[in-house]
Amino acid sequence: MTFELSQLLAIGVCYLLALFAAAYAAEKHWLPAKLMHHPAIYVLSIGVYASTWAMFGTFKLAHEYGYGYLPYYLGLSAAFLLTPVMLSPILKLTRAYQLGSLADLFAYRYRSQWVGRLVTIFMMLGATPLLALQIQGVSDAIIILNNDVSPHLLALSFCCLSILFAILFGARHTSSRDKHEGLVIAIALESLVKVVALLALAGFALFGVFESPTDLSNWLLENQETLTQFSSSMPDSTWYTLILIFFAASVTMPHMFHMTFTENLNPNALKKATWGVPLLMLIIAIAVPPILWAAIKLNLNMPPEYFTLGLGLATNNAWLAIIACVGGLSAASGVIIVTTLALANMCLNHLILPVYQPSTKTDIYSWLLWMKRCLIATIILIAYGFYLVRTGNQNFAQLGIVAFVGTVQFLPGVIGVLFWPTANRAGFMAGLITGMTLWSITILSPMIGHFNLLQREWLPFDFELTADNWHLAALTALGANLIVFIITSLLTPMSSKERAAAESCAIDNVSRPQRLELVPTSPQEFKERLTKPLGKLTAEREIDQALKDLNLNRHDTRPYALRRLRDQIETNLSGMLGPSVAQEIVSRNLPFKTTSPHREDVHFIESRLENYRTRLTGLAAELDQLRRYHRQILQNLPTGVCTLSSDGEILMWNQAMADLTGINGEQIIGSRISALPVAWYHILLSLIEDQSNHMITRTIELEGGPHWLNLHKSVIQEEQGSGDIIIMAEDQTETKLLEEELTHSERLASIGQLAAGVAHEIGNPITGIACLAQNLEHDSENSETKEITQQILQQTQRVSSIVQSLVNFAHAGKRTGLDTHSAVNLHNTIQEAINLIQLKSKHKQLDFQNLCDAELAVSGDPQRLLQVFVNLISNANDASANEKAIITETTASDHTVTVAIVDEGCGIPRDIQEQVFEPFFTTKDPGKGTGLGLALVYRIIEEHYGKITIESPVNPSSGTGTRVIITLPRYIQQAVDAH
Amino acid sequence: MPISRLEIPLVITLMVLSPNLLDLWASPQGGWLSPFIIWSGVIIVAIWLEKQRTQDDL
Repeated sequence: MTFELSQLLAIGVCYLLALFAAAYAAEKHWLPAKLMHHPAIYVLSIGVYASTWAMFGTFKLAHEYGYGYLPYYLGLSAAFLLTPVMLSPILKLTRAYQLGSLADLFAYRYRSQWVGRLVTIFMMLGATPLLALQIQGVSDAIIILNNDVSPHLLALSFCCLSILFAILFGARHTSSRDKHEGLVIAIALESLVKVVALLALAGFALFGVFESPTDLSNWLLENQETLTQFSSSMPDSTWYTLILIFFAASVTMPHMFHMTFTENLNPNALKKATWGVPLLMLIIAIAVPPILWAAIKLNLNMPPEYFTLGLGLATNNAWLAIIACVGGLSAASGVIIVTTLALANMCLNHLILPVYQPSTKTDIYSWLLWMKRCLIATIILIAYGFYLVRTGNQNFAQLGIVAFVGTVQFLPGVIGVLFWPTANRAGFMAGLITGMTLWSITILSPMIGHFNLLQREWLPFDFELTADNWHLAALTALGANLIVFIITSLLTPMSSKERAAAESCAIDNVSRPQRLELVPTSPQEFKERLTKPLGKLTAEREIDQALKDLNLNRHDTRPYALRRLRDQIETNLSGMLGPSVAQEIVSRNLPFKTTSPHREDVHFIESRLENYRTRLTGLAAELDQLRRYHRQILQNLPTGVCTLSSDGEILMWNQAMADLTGINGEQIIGSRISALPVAWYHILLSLIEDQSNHMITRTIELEGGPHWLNLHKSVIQEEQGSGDIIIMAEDQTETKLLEEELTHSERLASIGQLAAGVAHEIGNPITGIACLAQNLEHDSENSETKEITQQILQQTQRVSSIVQSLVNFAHAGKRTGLDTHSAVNLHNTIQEAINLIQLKSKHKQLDFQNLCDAELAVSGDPQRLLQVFVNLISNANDASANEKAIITETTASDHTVTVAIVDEGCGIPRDIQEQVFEPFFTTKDPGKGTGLGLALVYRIIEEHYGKITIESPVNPSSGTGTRVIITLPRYIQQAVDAH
Repeated sequence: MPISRLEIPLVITLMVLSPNLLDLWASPQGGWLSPFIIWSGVIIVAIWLEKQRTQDDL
């Protein structure tokens, strides 16, 4: 049975187009996100491991060595069973530092662009035989189904198709920032096709060729000797070597690294892959024996590699043959596409960009895209070239072994990354060169006839590579690699950058971002600095994208925000240019100040923990709860607390501090102290600079008036010396005002006592003088004497008046024993006061307006309240010019009444407004006033549980007018009755 | 990593003992399935370990 070439071509192209359609649907988000991120998709995508080796080559091994085919599956399964030891730490590193390939990982860890270059070159060397293996598999399979076509031409056609689809899957868009969800879906689908194909073939073998599993068992019993004749026992050393190289392949093979780490869409899926991948390998592996024994039973006359195709051909089952062919195509295309994409990224990031970057006038995105496409084509064509030049007798297994032994040379470097912080780049490079050199001489070169270095006379040893000793060559190369790696690392020094990178890669390390001071101080400055390496348009685009990713304002100059912006720019550029080039561009153009000390960015660590909160479980969740509880205590303290770094960056700002300052914590955290309003900046700066840790009752002028604060500071002791500063701010304004009022009241009380004493002592002598003057006036006829006695009587009256004021003032502090709950009608009381004043000041025409509510009443002593209004209206009268108005008006609430007395007089200057209620304070000329009037008013209002305030000027434009506002308890009849 | 301390010796032991399975090749009466049955058992243990593992990773 044969197939037309056109039929086979159509099947192949249709299959690949179907894969592309699935990838396209995934990229357009037509598929549900839950499906895309399902662990099963991830596990199936790792099935890319099952290349044409699994579809074809494994049958050769099973035919010769029985279970000797299992190490291919067991090695990978062991690697995934040990996920927490090896794969999880690598996934964390790749995600944390945006490492897209093994070369990126090594270049980061060993801090050297040369490491990246070397790894890329050797990876190309090691992976090319694997690519050639796929080309061979597909071309041989098609030759078996249609032997009319030239195998080389067929292989070339397959290569061209592979180039096209590799570009479609991985190099279609300008931005390589995002993961390729389409590629993951396509590879997962391919793995499913392979599994279905193998299970279909196994099912056919079990129930088509053999009639049932029992029939198979009977056949095995009958043919025991024949089967054991065919197969020989695989030596243990070969077995273990195979397990080791396939174990390492989980990380060192470029397509495995790419799908396991680079294209990982869901980090949690790796945990499911711990048992998911071994299960997938089990399903694939268990299909092999039935297919093999069915082919032996059918006596197929073809190499064992192609038994899968032979089953269908021998039984004239065209569909079975096509299923096997599609399975093989699926296996080959998956490996070629993923390996090529991975290698193209590595070549671009480590070989091309470090040496040549496009000019700033070129569209860098377009240039990168076309460069990637050229690399894809070049890599596949190089693999085709290797396929052509290799000596023709190698079977699948041999080609595969070459590739896997080549890439296992990276295993010591991986162990160094995870478990050996002392490993350095010199050791890694020396070991790698040693291992790859021995591999090239003993294993690679025999594949390429003319270049077989083992046949050279200058070689100091005789060695011919055979199926029985290849593992010795492999172990020798790996062993030499390891020994040179260890010895060189121990004997050579390590740079500080390597040491830092080694610590960050250590398996138990928790990433602690550093808080360093940047040289550029704004996003605009970022743009200017990145214009030189990237060009103006690209720099703008990258900055805008990073600002958008972080949801930051383009005018945000907080050091915290700028650090996040720098990290985001580096992450975004890593996806485009590779981490090495991105890191170099960012560290050169957006450097940190060399003088800034290393401090942990606590705010960033906390905000990251907040993001992780829902994903934390177990001990981590409990620790996070504890952290949040302690943080809440700080946040809810009734006292303002803030923390400043030693370089003046605000690290913490609690709610009380926000209420006190009116500045939200979210806005100010991460800023410098100089970003605070001037008043707060000066006061905090003076505290920081002060030798003492405490500042008591410091005044700060705010919009609402002066505030009084007690400030305390404490320094967090650091090993290096200067540490962060904790500042506590207590608002003492209310306490201060109460103290002042108490002082005022006490002063009034003491003056009252003094006044009472003076009045008592002076009163009697004055009365005596007045009596004597009256007698003298009455007894004397002399007019001059009468005039003098009149003056004496006037002066004594004046003294008596002053004494009376003093007595009134003194009595104001005493409880009279009267019922203070009597109702005092304000309108009537004020009108009486107005009448009295009008009688006194007949020389001045003023407009007295009593606008008080006639119904409002307050609780109090009518006479004393009359005294209050007489004093206030008298002062207003004295301050007002002719024909000015003096207005009294009231407002009321449920429990209080407010009386306002407003005049249009000269006003009271602000600086003396607080002094006017002091006893003996007066602005009138000497002899015109005692200075006790307002002091008496203040005292009476206080006794009535009221409040008096002054507002002046009333008219800001002219600076004139005074409003005196009195608040008194409202008279409520029910309250009185209840009392 | 207490769970991993169970997995490491388990996997290493299985790999070391695995060549002993080679003689079961082509055993009749389903004997040839033995390695796969042991393999399935290891997968079941791995599923159990994965469920038991306390997720303290950040």
